[in-house]
Amino acid sequence: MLNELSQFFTSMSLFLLQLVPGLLVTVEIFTFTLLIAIPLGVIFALGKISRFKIVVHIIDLYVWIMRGTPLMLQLIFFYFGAINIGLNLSRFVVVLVVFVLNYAAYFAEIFRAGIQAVDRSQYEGADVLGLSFWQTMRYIILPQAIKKILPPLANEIITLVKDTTLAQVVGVVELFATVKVTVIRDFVIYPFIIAALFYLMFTQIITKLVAVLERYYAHYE
Amino acid sequence: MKNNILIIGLISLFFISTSVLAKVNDSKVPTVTDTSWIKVSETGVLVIGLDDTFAPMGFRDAKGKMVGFDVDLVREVALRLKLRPIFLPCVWSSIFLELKGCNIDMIQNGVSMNSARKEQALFSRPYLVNRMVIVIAKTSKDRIKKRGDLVGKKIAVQSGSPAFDYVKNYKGNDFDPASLKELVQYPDNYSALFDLSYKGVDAVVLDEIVADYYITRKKVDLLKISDTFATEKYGIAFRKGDKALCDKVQETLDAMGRDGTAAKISKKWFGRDVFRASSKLLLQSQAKHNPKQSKKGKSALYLTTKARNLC
Repeated sequence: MLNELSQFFTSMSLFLLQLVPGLLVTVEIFTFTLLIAIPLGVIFALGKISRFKIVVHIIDLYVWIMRGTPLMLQLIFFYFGAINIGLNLSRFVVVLVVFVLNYAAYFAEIFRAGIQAVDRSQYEGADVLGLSFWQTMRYIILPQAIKKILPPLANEIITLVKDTTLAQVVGVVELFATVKVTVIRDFVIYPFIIAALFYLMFTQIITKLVAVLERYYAHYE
Repeated sequence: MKNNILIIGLISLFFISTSVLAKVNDSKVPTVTDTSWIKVSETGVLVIGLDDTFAPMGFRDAKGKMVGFDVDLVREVALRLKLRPIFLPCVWSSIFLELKGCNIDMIQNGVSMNSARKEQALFSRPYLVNRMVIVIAKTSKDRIKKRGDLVGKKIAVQSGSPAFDYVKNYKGNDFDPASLKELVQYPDNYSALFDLSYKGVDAVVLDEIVADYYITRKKVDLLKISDTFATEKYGIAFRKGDKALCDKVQETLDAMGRDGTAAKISKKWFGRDVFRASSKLLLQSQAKHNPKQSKKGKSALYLTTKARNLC
Protein backbone atom coordinates (compact mmCIF):
# COMPACT_ATOMS: atom_id res chain seq x y z
CA MET A 1 0.00 0.00 0.00
CA LEU A 2 2.70 2.42 1.07
CA ASN A 3 4.80 1.27 -1.84
CA GLU A 4 1.98 1.93 -4.30
CA LEU A 5 1.35 5.33 -2.82
CA SER A 6 4.98 6.37 -3.10
CA GLN A 7 5.04 5.06 -6.66
CA PHE A 8 1.98 7.16 -7.49
CA PHE A 9 3.59 10.27 -6.04
CA THR A 10 6.85 9.67 -7.90
CA SER A 11 5.10 9.31 -11.26
CA MET A 12 2.82 12.25 -10.51
CA SER A 13 5.69 14.54 -9.51
CA LEU A 14 7.56 13.44 -12.63
CA PHE A 15 4.50 14.38 -14.70
CA LEU A 16 4.09 17.74 -12.99
CA LEU A 17 7.78 18.47 -13.44
CA GLN A 18 7.37 17.84 -17.14
CA LEU A 19 4.62 20.45 -17.32
CA VAL A 20 6.89 23.23 -16.05
CA PRO A 21 8.39 24.27 -19.43
CA GLY A 22 4.92 24.29 -21.03
CA LEU A 23 3.48 26.26 -18.15
CA LEU A 24 6.28 28.82 -18.48
CA VAL A 25 5.55 29.24 -22.19
CA THR A 26 1.86 29.77 -21.42
CA VAL A 27 2.67 32.37 -18.76
CA GLU A 28 5.14 34.08 -21.11
CA ILE A 29 2.61 34.35 -23.94
CA PHE A 30 -0.02 35.62 -21.51
CA THR A 31 2.16 38.22 -19.77
CA PHE A 32 3.81 39.55 -22.89
CA THR A 33 0.51 39.85 -24.77
CA LEU A 34 -1.10 41.71 -21.90
CA LEU A 35 1.82 44.08 -21.32
CA ILE A 36 2.00 45.16 -24.97
CA ALA A 37 -1.59 44.78 -26.12
CA ILE A 38 -3.17 46.93 -23.38
CA PRO A 39 -1.11 50.10 -24.04
CA LEU A 40 -1.44 49.43 -27.77
CA GLY A 41 -5.19 49.11 -27.31
CA VAL A 42 -5.30 52.51 -25.55
CA ILE A 43 -3.36 54.10 -28.41
CA PHE A 44 -5.66 52.57 -31.02
CA ALA A 45 -8.72 53.64 -29.03
CA LEU A 46 -7.45 57.23 -28.93
CA GLY A 47 -6.73 57.01 -32.64
CA LYS A 48 -10.25 55.87 -33.28
CA ILE A 49 -11.80 58.84 -31.52
CA SER A 50 -9.35 61.30 -33.10
CA ARG A 51 -10.39 63.75 -35.81
CA PHE A 52 -7.91 62.34 -38.36
CA LYS A 53 -10.26 60.40 -40.61
CA ILE A 54 -7.44 58.42 -42.28
CA VAL A 55 -6.25 57.12 -38.88
CA VAL A 56 -9.81 56.19 -37.97
CA HIS A 57 -10.25 54.26 -41.22
CA ILE A 58 -6.95 52.39 -40.88
CA ILE A 59 -7.76 51.36 -37.30
CA ASP A 60 -11.27 50.35 -38.40
CA LEU A 61 -9.81 48.12 -41.10
CA TYR A 62 -7.31 46.60 -38.68
CA VAL A 63 -9.94 45.89 -36.03
CA TRP A 64 -12.25 44.47 -38.68
CA ILE A 65 -9.62 41.99 -39.86
CA MET A 66 -8.27 40.98 -36.44
CA ARG A 67 -11.68 40.50 -34.88
CA GLY A 68 -13.25 39.06 -37.99
CA THR A 69 -10.90 36.12 -38.55
CA PRO A 70 -10.08 33.23 -36.22
CA LEU A 71 -6.93 33.58 -34.12
CA MET A 72 -5.90 30.09 -35.20
CA LEU A 73 -6.03 31.12 -38.85
CA GLN A 74 -4.04 34.30 -38.13
CA LEU A 75 -1.30 32.29 -36.43
CA ILE A 76 -0.99 29.86 -39.33
CA PHE A 77 -1.20 32.64 -41.91
CA PHE A 78 1.49 34.81 -40.27
CA TYR A 79 3.86 31.96 -39.53
CA PHE A 80 3.82 30.32 -42.93
CA GLY A 81 3.39 33.64 -44.68
CA ALA A 82 6.64 34.74 -43.07
CA ILE A 83 8.38 31.55 -44.18
CA ASN A 84 7.02 31.98 -47.68
CA ILE A 85 8.35 35.50 -48.18
CA GLY A 86 11.72 34.46 -46.76
CA LEU A 87 11.53 35.82 -43.23
CA ASN A 88 13.00 33.31 -40.84
CA LEU A 89 11.23 34.34 -37.66
CA SER A 90 11.15 32.18 -34.59
CA ARG A 91 7.73 30.63 -34.10
CA PHE A 92 7.54 32.04 -30.60
CA VAL A 93 8.02 35.59 -31.88
CA VAL A 94 5.28 35.06 -34.48
CA VAL A 95 2.93 33.80 -31.76
CA LEU A 96 3.64 36.86 -29.60
CA VAL A 97 3.16 39.30 -32.49
CA VAL A 98 -0.12 37.71 -33.59
CA PHE A 99 -1.47 37.52 -30.04
CA VAL A 100 -0.57 41.17 -29.42
CA LEU A 101 -2.15 42.33 -32.68
CA ASN A 102 -5.27 40.25 -32.12
CA TYR A 103 -5.81 41.27 -28.52
CA ALA A 104 -4.95 44.93 -29.11
CA ALA A 105 -7.90 45.02 -31.53
CA TYR A 106 -10.29 43.78 -28.86
CA PHE A 107 -8.78 46.04 -26.22
CA ALA A 108 -9.03 49.04 -28.57
CA GLU A 109 -12.78 48.55 -28.86
CA ILE A 110 -13.17 48.09 -25.10
CA PHE A 111 -11.16 51.24 -24.35
CA ARG A 112 -13.02 53.22 -27.01
CA ALA A 113 -16.32 52.23 -25.48
CA GLY A 114 -15.01 53.20 -22.03
CA ILE A 115 -13.70 56.58 -23.17
CA GLN A 116 -16.88 57.42 -25.05
CA ALA A 117 -18.99 56.40 -22.04
CA VAL A 118 -17.46 59.25 -20.00
CA ASP A 119 -19.89 62.16 -20.00
CA ARG A 120 -19.28 65.14 -22.30
CA SER A 121 -19.46 67.48 -19.29
CA GLN A 122 -16.15 66.02 -18.04
CA TYR A 123 -14.39 67.33 -21.15
CA GLU A 124 -16.05 70.69 -20.77
CA GLY A 125 -15.03 70.87 -17.12
CA ALA A 126 -11.44 70.02 -18.04
CA ASP A 127 -11.56 72.66 -20.75
CA VAL A 128 -12.71 75.27 -18.27
CA LEU A 129 -9.81 74.30 -15.98
CA GLY A 130 -7.45 74.89 -18.92
CA LEU A 131 -6.18 71.32 -19.16
CA SER A 132 -4.54 70.13 -22.36
CA PHE A 133 -5.83 67.13 -24.32
CA TRP A 134 -3.28 64.75 -22.77
CA GLN A 135 -3.87 66.10 -19.27
CA THR A 136 -7.61 65.66 -19.75
CA MET A 137 -7.07 62.09 -20.87
CA ARG A 138 -4.53 61.21 -18.17
CA TYR A 139 -6.25 62.78 -15.14
CA ILE A 140 -9.95 63.05 -16.01
CA ILE A 141 -11.11 60.65 -18.72
CA LEU A 142 -8.97 57.48 -18.52
CA PRO A 143 -9.39 56.91 -14.74
CA GLN A 144 -13.15 57.05 -15.17
CA ALA A 145 -13.02 54.95 -18.35
CA ILE A 146 -10.91 52.23 -16.70
CA LYS A 147 -13.45 51.92 -13.93
CA LYS A 148 -16.20 51.33 -16.46
CA ILE A 149 -14.31 48.85 -18.59
CA LEU A 150 -12.87 46.61 -15.87
CA PRO A 151 -15.54 43.89 -16.23
CA PRO A 152 -15.26 43.52 -20.05
CA LEU A 153 -11.47 43.80 -19.75
CA ALA A 154 -11.40 40.97 -17.22
CA ASN A 155 -13.53 38.90 -19.59
CA GLU A 156 -11.04 39.42 -22.39
CA ILE A 157 -8.04 38.66 -20.16
CA ILE A 158 -9.61 35.39 -19.04
CA THR A 159 -10.23 34.50 -22.67
CA LEU A 160 -6.56 35.20 -23.32
CA VAL A 161 -5.56 32.59 -20.72
CA LYS A 162 -7.46 29.95 -22.63
CA ASP A 163 -6.50 31.22 -26.09
CA THR A 164 -2.82 30.56 -25.31
CA THR A 165 -3.61 26.91 -26.13
CA LEU A 166 -3.83 27.96 -29.79
CA ALA A 167 -0.07 28.59 -29.93
CA GLN A 168 0.42 24.87 -30.50
CA VAL A 169 -0.90 25.14 -34.07
CA VAL A 170 2.44 26.61 -35.13
CA GLY A 171 4.44 24.22 -32.98
CA VAL A 172 4.90 26.28 -29.82
CA VAL A 173 4.68 23.75 -27.01
CA GLU A 174 2.59 25.41 -24.33
CA LEU A 175 0.89 23.83 -21.34
CA PHE A 176 -1.88 22.04 -23.19
CA ALA A 177 0.48 20.62 -25.81
CA THR A 178 2.74 19.34 -23.02
CA VAL A 179 -0.22 17.66 -21.38
CA LYS A 180 -1.25 15.98 -24.62
CA VAL A 181 2.19 14.34 -24.91
CA THR A 182 1.49 12.24 -21.82
CA VAL A 183 -2.05 11.45 -22.97
CA ILE A 184 -0.77 10.11 -26.27
CA ARG A 185 2.16 8.21 -24.77
CA ASP A 186 0.32 6.51 -21.90
CA PHE A 187 -3.26 6.50 -23.20
CA VAL A 188 -4.60 7.97 -19.95
CA ILE A 189 -7.01 10.82 -19.38
CA TYR A 190 -5.90 12.25 -16.00
CA PRO A 191 -3.48 14.81 -17.56
CA PHE A 192 -6.49 16.67 -18.98
CA ILE A 193 -7.97 17.01 -15.51
CA ILE A 194 -4.70 18.41 -14.18
CA ALA A 195 -4.54 20.85 -17.10
CA ALA A 196 -8.09 21.97 -16.31
CA LEU A 197 -7.04 22.64 -12.70
CA PHE A 198 -4.09 24.72 -13.89
CA TYR A 199 -6.28 26.90 -16.11
CA LEU A 200 -8.86 27.27 -13.33
CA MET A 201 -6.14 28.40 -10.94
CA PHE A 202 -4.83 30.85 -13.50
CA THR A 203 -8.24 32.45 -14.10
CA GLN A 204 -8.94 32.49 -10.36
CA ILE A 205 -5.83 34.61 -9.79
CA ILE A 206 -6.95 37.03 -12.50
CA THR A 207 -10.47 37.25 -11.11
CA LYS A 208 -9.05 38.12 -7.67
CA LEU A 209 -6.69 40.75 -9.10
CA VAL A 210 -9.52 42.39 -11.02
CA ALA A 211 -11.64 42.45 -7.85
CA VAL A 212 -8.80 44.31 -6.11
CA LEU A 213 -8.62 46.80 -8.99
CA GLU A 214 -12.39 47.33 -8.90
CA ARG A 215 -12.20 48.17 -5.21
CA TYR A 216 -9.33 50.57 -5.88
CA TYR A 217 -11.21 52.45 -8.61
CA ALA A 218 -14.38 52.48 -6.49
CA HIS A 219 -13.08 55.60 -4.69
CA TYR A 220 -14.14 57.66 -7.70
CA GLU A 221 -17.75 56.99 -6.68
CA MET B 1 -10.93 60.32 -47.78
CA LYS B 2 -12.23 56.93 -48.81
CA ASN B 3 -10.31 57.37 -52.05
CA ASN B 4 -7.08 57.78 -50.11
CA ILE B 5 -7.42 54.33 -48.59
CA LEU B 6 -8.23 52.83 -51.93
CA ILE B 7 -5.12 54.38 -53.47
CA ILE B 8 -2.88 53.26 -50.63
CA GLY B 9 -4.37 49.78 -50.83
CA LEU B 10 -3.79 49.59 -54.58
CA ILE B 11 -0.22 50.82 -54.27
CA SER B 12 0.65 48.30 -51.58
CA LEU B 13 -1.07 45.54 -53.53
CA PHE B 14 1.04 46.49 -56.55
CA PHE B 15 4.27 46.29 -54.55
CA ILE B 16 3.38 42.97 -52.99
CA SER B 17 2.40 41.39 -56.29
CA THR B 18 5.47 42.64 -58.14
CA SER B 19 7.80 41.37 -55.45
CA VAL B 20 6.14 37.97 -55.48
CA LEU B 21 6.22 37.79 -59.26
CA ALA B 22 9.86 38.83 -59.31
CA LYS B 23 10.73 35.94 -57.06
CA VAL B 24 8.89 33.42 -59.17
CA ASN B 25 10.59 34.67 -62.31
CA ASP B 26 14.06 34.59 -60.80
CA SER B 27 13.79 30.96 -59.93
CA LYS B 28 13.30 29.85 -63.48
CA VAL B 29 16.73 31.04 -64.55
CA PRO B 30 19.42 29.41 -62.40
CA THR B 31 20.10 25.72 -62.09
CA VAL B 32 20.83 25.22 -58.42
CA THR B 33 23.88 23.10 -57.66
CA ASP B 34 23.31 20.59 -54.90
CA THR B 35 25.25 21.73 -51.86
CA SER B 36 22.95 20.08 -49.35
CA TRP B 37 25.48 17.62 -47.96
CA ILE B 38 28.32 20.14 -47.87
CA LYS B 39 26.20 22.61 -45.92
CA VAL B 40 25.05 20.02 -43.41
CA SER B 41 28.53 18.60 -42.87
CA GLU B 42 30.06 22.05 -42.52
CA THR B 43 27.64 23.04 -39.77
CA GLY B 44 27.85 19.56 -38.24
CA VAL B 45 24.17 19.68 -37.41
CA LEU B 46 21.31 17.67 -38.87
CA VAL B 47 17.88 19.15 -38.17
CA ILE B 48 15.12 16.55 -38.18
CA GLY B 49 11.52 17.69 -38.28
CA LEU B 50 8.96 15.51 -36.58
CA ASP B 51 5.63 15.48 -34.88
CA ASP B 52 6.86 14.72 -31.39
CA THR B 53 3.55 13.18 -30.40
CA PHE B 54 3.70 10.31 -32.88
CA ALA B 55 4.28 7.31 -30.64
CA PRO B 56 6.11 5.01 -31.30
CA MET B 57 8.02 6.74 -34.14
CA GLY B 58 8.97 9.91 -32.31
CA PHE B 59 7.66 11.12 -28.98
CA ARG B 60 8.78 12.11 -25.48
CA ASP B 61 9.29 9.76 -22.56
CA ALA B 62 8.25 10.50 -18.99
CA LYS B 63 11.38 12.61 -18.51
CA GLY B 64 10.72 14.67 -21.62
CA LYS B 65 13.46 13.05 -23.69
CA MET B 66 12.84 12.48 -27.40
CA VAL B 67 12.51 8.74 -28.03
CA GLY B 68 11.04 6.38 -30.61
CA PHE B 69 11.86 4.06 -33.48
CA ASP B 70 12.56 6.80 -36.01
CA VAL B 71 14.42 8.83 -33.41
CA ASP B 72 16.71 5.89 -32.58
CA LEU B 73 17.33 5.23 -36.28
CA VAL B 74 18.19 8.82 -37.10
CA ARG B 75 20.37 9.19 -33.98
CA GLU B 76 22.45 6.26 -35.22
CA VAL B 77 22.58 7.68 -38.74
CA ALA B 78 23.75 11.04 -37.40
CA LEU B 79 26.34 9.37 -35.17
CA ARG B 80 27.80 7.54 -38.15
CA LEU B 81 27.84 10.69 -40.26
CA LYS B 82 29.47 12.58 -37.34
CA LEU B 83 26.57 15.00 -37.11
CA ARG B 84 24.67 16.29 -34.12
CA PRO B 85 20.97 15.51 -34.53
CA ILE B 86 18.55 18.25 -33.54
CA PHE B 87 14.91 17.26 -33.33
CA LEU B 88 12.55 20.09 -34.14
CA PRO B 89 8.93 19.45 -33.18
CA CYS B 90 6.59 20.49 -35.99
CA VAL B 91 2.88 20.45 -36.52
CA TRP B 92 2.21 17.51 -38.78
CA SER B 93 -0.24 19.24 -41.13
CA SER B 94 2.34 21.84 -42.08
CA ILE B 95 5.55 19.83 -41.80
CA PHE B 96 6.24 19.91 -45.56
CA LEU B 97 6.05 23.70 -45.45
CA GLU B 98 8.69 23.65 -42.73
CA LEU B 99 10.86 21.51 -44.99
CA LYS B 100 10.41 23.86 -47.94
CA GLY B 101 10.95 26.84 -45.67
CA CYS B 102 14.36 25.40 -44.70
CA ASN B 103 13.55 25.18 -41.01
CA ILE B 104 14.45 21.50 -41.13
CA ASP B 105 16.75 19.31 -43.25
CA MET B 106 14.62 16.19 -43.32
CA ILE B 107 11.44 14.58 -42.05
CA GLN B 108 11.80 11.16 -40.49
CA ASN B 109 8.50 10.54 -38.81
CA GLY B 110 6.77 7.58 -40.39
CA VAL B 111 6.09 9.53 -43.57
CA SER B 112 3.94 7.47 -45.95
CA MET B 113 5.23 7.80 -49.48
CA ASN B 114 2.34 8.74 -51.72
CA SER B 115 2.38 10.43 -55.09
CA ALA B 116 1.23 13.81 -53.75
CA ARG B 117 4.08 13.90 -51.26
CA LYS B 118 6.60 12.70 -53.84
CA GLU B 119 5.80 15.84 -55.79
CA GLN B 120 6.61 17.95 -52.78
CA ALA B 121 9.72 16.22 -51.51
CA LEU B 122 12.58 13.90 -52.38
CA PHE B 123 12.25 10.53 -50.66
CA SER B 124 14.76 7.96 -49.50
CA ARG B 125 14.06 4.35 -50.40
CA PRO B 126 11.31 2.97 -48.17
CA TYR B 127 12.55 1.59 -44.85
CA LEU B 128 9.36 0.21 -43.36
CA VAL B 129 6.09 -1.25 -44.57
CA ASN B 130 3.05 -0.27 -42.60
CA ARG B 131 -0.48 -1.55 -42.88
CA MET B 132 -3.75 0.21 -42.11
CA VAL B 133 -5.35 -2.09 -39.59
CA ILE B 134 -8.85 -2.22 -38.16
CA VAL B 135 -8.94 -2.37 -34.37
CA ILE B 136 -11.92 -3.11 -32.16
CA ALA B 137 -12.35 -3.18 -28.39
CA LYS B 138 -11.44 -6.53 -26.88
CA THR B 139 -14.76 -6.62 -25.05
CA SER B 140 -16.79 -5.76 -28.15
CA LYS B 141 -19.79 -7.99 -28.84
CA ASP B 142 -20.16 -6.84 -32.44
CA ARG B 143 -18.29 -9.81 -33.89
CA ILE B 144 -16.40 -7.68 -36.37
CA LYS B 145 -14.02 -10.17 -37.96
CA LYS B 146 -13.55 -8.88 -41.47
CA ARG B 147 -14.00 -5.74 -43.51
CA GLY B 148 -17.51 -6.77 -44.58
CA ASP B 149 -18.72 -6.74 -40.97
CA LEU B 150 -18.24 -2.98 -40.82
CA VAL B 151 -21.52 -2.35 -42.66
CA GLY B 152 -23.76 -0.12 -40.54
CA LYS B 153 -20.99 0.51 -37.98
CA LYS B 154 -19.31 3.68 -36.79
CA ILE B 155 -15.63 3.96 -37.65
CA ALA B 156 -13.24 6.58 -36.33
CA VAL B 157 -10.09 7.76 -38.10
CA GLN B 158 -7.59 10.58 -37.78
CA SER B 159 -8.70 13.41 -40.06
CA GLY B 160 -6.41 14.08 -42.98
CA SER B 161 -4.60 10.79 -42.40
CA PRO B 162 -4.06 8.14 -45.08
CA ALA B 163 -6.42 5.90 -43.06
CA PHE B 164 -9.25 8.29 -43.82
CA ASP B 165 -8.48 8.26 -47.56
CA TYR B 166 -8.19 4.47 -47.68
CA VAL B 167 -11.53 3.92 -45.98
CA LYS B 168 -13.33 6.63 -47.90
CA ASN B 169 -12.02 5.53 -51.31
CA TYR B 170 -12.08 1.78 -50.75
CA LYS B 171 -13.34 -0.11 -53.79
CA GLY B 172 -14.04 -3.80 -53.33
CA ASN B 173 -16.89 -6.23 -53.32
CA ASP B 174 -16.78 -6.98 -49.60
CA PHE B 175 -17.20 -3.46 -48.28
CA ASP B 176 -18.74 -0.21 -49.44
CA PRO B 177 -17.70 2.96 -47.55
CA ALA B 178 -21.17 4.40 -48.12
CA SER B 179 -22.67 1.60 -46.05
CA LEU B 180 -21.00 2.85 -42.88
CA LYS B 181 -23.27 4.37 -40.27
CA GLU B 182 -20.71 7.10 -39.68
CA LEU B 183 -17.07 7.88 -40.46
CA VAL B 184 -15.96 9.98 -37.51
CA GLN B 185 -12.87 12.17 -37.93
CA TYR B 186 -10.71 13.05 -34.95
CA PRO B 187 -7.70 15.35 -34.94
CA ASP B 188 -5.57 12.63 -33.27
CA ASN B 189 -5.44 8.86 -33.19
CA TYR B 190 -5.62 8.81 -29.41
CA SER B 191 -8.98 10.61 -29.42
CA ALA B 192 -10.31 7.99 -31.83
CA LEU B 193 -9.01 5.21 -29.57
CA PHE B 194 -10.51 6.87 -26.48
CA ASP B 195 -13.84 6.96 -28.28
CA LEU B 196 -13.44 3.28 -29.09
CA SER B 197 -12.64 2.37 -25.50
CA TYR B 198 -15.75 4.26 -24.34
CA LYS B 199 -17.80 2.49 -27.04
CA GLY B 200 -18.62 5.70 -28.91
CA VAL B 201 -17.48 4.02 -32.13
CA ASP B 202 -17.26 0.37 -33.15
CA ALA B 203 -13.85 0.34 -34.81
CA VAL B 204 -10.84 2.53 -35.52
CA VAL B 205 -8.69 2.36 -38.64
CA LEU B 206 -5.09 3.41 -38.03
CA ASP B 207 -1.44 2.59 -38.71
CA GLU B 208 -0.42 -0.87 -37.53
CA ILE B 209 2.72 0.46 -35.85
CA VAL B 210 0.64 2.81 -33.70
CA ALA B 211 -1.87 0.08 -32.86
CA ASP B 212 1.01 -2.28 -31.98
CA TYR B 213 2.52 0.29 -29.66
CA TYR B 214 -0.68 0.71 -27.65
CA ILE B 215 -1.48 -3.02 -27.62
CA THR B 216 1.95 -4.46 -26.79
CA ARG B 217 3.63 -1.71 -24.81
CA LYS B 218 0.69 0.06 -23.16
CA LYS B 219 -1.55 -3.00 -22.74
CA VAL B 220 -4.62 -1.21 -24.05
CA ASP B 221 -7.49 -3.68 -24.59
CA LEU B 222 -7.62 -3.53 -28.35
CA LEU B 223 -7.85 -6.26 -30.93
CA LYS B 224 -6.47 -6.13 -34.46
CA ILE B 225 -8.61 -7.98 -36.99
CA SER B 226 -6.93 -9.77 -39.86
CA ASP B 227 -8.36 -7.67 -42.70
CA THR B 228 -6.48 -4.47 -43.46
CA PHE B 229 -7.22 -1.47 -45.61
CA ALA B 230 -3.96 -0.82 -47.37
CA THR B 231 -0.24 -1.29 -47.28
CA GLU B 232 2.01 1.70 -47.46
CA LYS B 233 5.70 2.44 -47.36
CA TYR B 234 7.50 4.80 -45.04
CA GLY B 235 10.38 6.88 -46.30
CA ILE B 236 12.51 9.81 -45.19
CA ALA B 237 11.59 13.10 -46.85
CA PHE B 238 14.18 15.62 -48.01
CA ARG B 239 13.90 18.87 -49.88
CA LYS B 240 13.71 18.43 -53.63
CA GLY B 241 17.19 18.90 -54.97
CA ASP B 242 18.92 17.79 -51.77
CA LYS B 243 19.99 14.56 -53.42
CA ALA B 244 23.50 14.55 -51.95
CA LEU B 245 22.16 14.59 -48.40
CA CYS B 246 19.55 11.99 -49.24
CA ASP B 247 22.21 9.67 -50.70
CA LYS B 248 24.45 10.02 -47.64
CA VAL B 249 21.60 9.12 -45.28
CA GLN B 250 20.51 6.26 -47.54
CA GLU B 251 24.04 4.76 -47.60
CA THR B 252 24.22 4.89 -43.81
CA LEU B 253 20.77 3.38 -43.42
CA ASP B 254 21.69 0.56 -45.80
CA ALA B 255 24.82 -0.16 -43.76
CA MET B 256 22.73 -0.27 -40.59
CA GLY B 257 20.42 -2.76 -42.25
CA ARG B 258 23.38 -4.99 -43.20
CA ASP B 259 25.13 -5.03 -39.82
CA GLY B 260 21.95 -5.67 -37.82
CA THR B 261 21.75 -2.32 -36.02
CA ALA B 262 18.42 -1.49 -37.62
CA ALA B 263 17.03 -4.90 -36.67
CA LYS B 264 18.06 -4.30 -33.05
CA ILE B 265 16.31 -0.93 -32.92
CA SER B 266 13.24 -2.45 -34.53
CA LYS B 267 13.06 -5.30 -31.99
CA LYS B 268 13.31 -2.77 -29.18
CA TRP B 269 10.20 -0.93 -30.38
CA PHE B 270 8.02 -3.53 -32.04
CA GLY B 271 9.22 -6.85 -30.64
CA ARG B 272 9.93 -7.96 -34.20
CA ASP B 273 12.24 -6.99 -37.01
CA VAL B 274 10.11 -4.66 -39.05
CA PHE B 275 13.16 -3.49 -40.97
CA ARG B 276 13.99 -6.89 -42.43
CA ALA B 277 10.38 -8.06 -42.66
CA SER B 278 9.80 -5.03 -44.81
CA SER B 279 12.71 -5.63 -47.13
CA LYS B 280 11.07 -8.56 -48.94
CA LEU B 281 7.98 -6.53 -49.67
CA LEU B 282 10.17 -3.64 -50.65
CA LEU B 283 12.08 -5.69 -53.20
CA GLN B 284 8.82 -6.58 -54.89
CA SER B 285 7.61 -3.02 -54.90
CA GLN B 286 10.90 -1.62 -56.13
CA ALA B 287 10.63 -3.68 -59.28
CA LYS B 288 7.54 -1.68 -60.10
CA HIS B 289 8.97 1.57 -58.85
CA ASN B 290 9.30 4.21 -61.51
CA PRO B 291 12.27 6.47 -60.87
CA LYS B 292 11.00 9.20 -63.18
CA GLN B 293 9.86 12.13 -61.15
CA SER B 294 6.79 14.05 -62.07
CA LYS B 295 7.43 17.66 -62.95
CA LYS B 296 3.94 19.02 -62.72
CA GLY B 297 2.39 20.45 -59.61
CA LYS B 298 5.35 22.49 -58.43
CA SER B 299 3.81 25.28 -56.47
CA ALA B 300 4.85 28.89 -56.50
CA LEU B 301 5.85 28.32 -52.90
CA TYR B 302 8.41 25.77 -53.97
CA LEU B 303 9.80 28.06 -56.63
CA THR B 304 10.23 30.99 -54.29
CA THR B 305 12.02 28.81 -51.77
CA LYS B 306 14.38 27.58 -54.41
CA ALA B 307 15.11 31.10 -55.55
CA ARG B 308 16.06 32.08 -52.03
CA ASN B 309 18.62 29.28 -51.94
CA LEU B 310 18.74 29.66 -48.17
CA CYS B 311 19.36 26.07 -47.23
